[in-house]
Amino acid sequence: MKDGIEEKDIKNLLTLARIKVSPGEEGKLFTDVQGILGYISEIQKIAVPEDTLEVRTLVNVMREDDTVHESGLYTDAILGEAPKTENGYIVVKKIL
Amino acid sequence: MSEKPLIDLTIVEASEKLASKEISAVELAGAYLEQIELRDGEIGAYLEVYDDVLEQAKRADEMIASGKGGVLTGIPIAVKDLILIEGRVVSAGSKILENYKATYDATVIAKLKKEGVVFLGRTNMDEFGMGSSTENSAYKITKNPHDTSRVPGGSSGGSSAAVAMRGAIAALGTDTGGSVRQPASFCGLVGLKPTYGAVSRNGLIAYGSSLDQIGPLTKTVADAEIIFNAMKGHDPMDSTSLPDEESKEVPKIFTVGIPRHFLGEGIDVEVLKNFNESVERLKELGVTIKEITLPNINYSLSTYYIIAPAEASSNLSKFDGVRYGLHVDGENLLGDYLESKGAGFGAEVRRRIVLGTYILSHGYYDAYYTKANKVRNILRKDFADAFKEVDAIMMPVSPMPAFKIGEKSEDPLSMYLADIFTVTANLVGVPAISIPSGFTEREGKQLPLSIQLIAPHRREDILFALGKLFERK
Repeated sequence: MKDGIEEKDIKNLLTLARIKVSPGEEGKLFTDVQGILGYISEIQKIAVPEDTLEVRTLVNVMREDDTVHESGLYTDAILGEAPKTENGYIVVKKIL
Repeated sequence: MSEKPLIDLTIVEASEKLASKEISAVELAGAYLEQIELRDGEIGAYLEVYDDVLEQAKRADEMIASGKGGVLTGIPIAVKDLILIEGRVVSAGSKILENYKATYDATVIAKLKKEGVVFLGRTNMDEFGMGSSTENSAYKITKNPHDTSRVPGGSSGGSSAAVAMRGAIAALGTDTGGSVRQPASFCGLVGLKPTYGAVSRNGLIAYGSSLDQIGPLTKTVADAEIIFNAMKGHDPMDSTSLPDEESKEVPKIFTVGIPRHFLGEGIDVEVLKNFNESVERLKELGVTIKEITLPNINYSLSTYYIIAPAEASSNLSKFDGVRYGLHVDGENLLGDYLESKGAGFGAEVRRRIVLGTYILSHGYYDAYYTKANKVRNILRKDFADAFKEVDAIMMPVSPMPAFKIGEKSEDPLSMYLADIFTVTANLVGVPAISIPSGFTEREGKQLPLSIQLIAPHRREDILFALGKLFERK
């Protein structure tokens, strides 16, 4: 792990998060994120026992794999919210 | 003595008048609509007032007339713009969901509809719940009815302002790091964050899924209890929902713990003075006060501001302009994502997504996210240890009273520091309540102050009992 964040990291993170910002905003984001990281990095100082994560017992919550409602019951309402649809499908731009 | 105006009634009072037919639900809802008309232009609590409020009230009157009414039938409440009501717009205070219509009812909404609750409208909020002042709304600034140059708190600031301006009898908010308790405190209301898993999150737009809970903002503790009881319960649609359990016995004499070591620098002098007076009040009421130590609570805020953005960056990745919400056309599919998210998310949301993406990225994950989860477990243990000795823990809600609009909006870290006393209950998953404890005068205006009580998991009953005791004094 390298120390701290650099301005060019912001560009990569925005690409990873798929967010386009205006060029001027990257600098402000860098300053803000750097400041916040400076604060939250204090948790590096706290010593925790090795097995701390094991303390919690998480259980999977499952349900029966059966029909929960009649097929197509919500299709129109849900597709009605999609920006572009065709014959009951959501339309996206081709990726190949 | 003159009759109390309808808009000043508590749920308990209004409910009695409705049941005895002294007033109708239509009259009650009408009184609130009038007040909204009168005040909301200045305050800006609502993003939308529903156009069918009186029809809803009419149906409630029919329920009452047919003898099917309950304590909440005909009670007009406001709902934070983050909770789904079928067929109505729910925008999360964001441009990315500006015209999004909910396709189903949140579980809490379905439960309240069954009770005959009247929904007045949806309230303003910090975008996706990210903020402590409601200034991060993509739509407008909401003003504090106690002093309109100040914020109403956040992120449920529209909900707190709606009730404080007498424009709703109560409101629903959501609390990820204090977003019900802090606005309740800034506006002189009771605000409850239930135990994680006590109230279903189904139909709540997610911000930090391991932290989020829906809670009421009300005029009294009894009213908060009524709404909580109507909303709680196991829900198979929420995998983190807790199983129902029998009610427990509330202690006859309470012991309340004070983590004195955590009430040091950074707290407003008047806030601390009021807190100390509140401790004395509890003593006079026969409550045993005990000083306790929460050894790692100083790390709560850092832990929270790692876990919450991490979860947010993951939760918000689904808003991509494909299935619902804002779509801005780009050159190709990737361009669609970049343009839609770029146009749809506001500054604070971007900040937290970038921060969360960093925290979760290769090389930093262990140092931040894994470490924060370990600290979270230590905090859980610290609280469990403390609750072996005390029935509840008391702290301030906020280190300062309502601050000025614009005072913290340019400096995100100073805004985050306002959450210092509230985030721990979310990290630990325990219930916490904000209860009005007095006022402080600033520039000739009376600003409300509150105390916060925190109880063990699933012990909202202790908060209600202690809260009622404190409130009566």
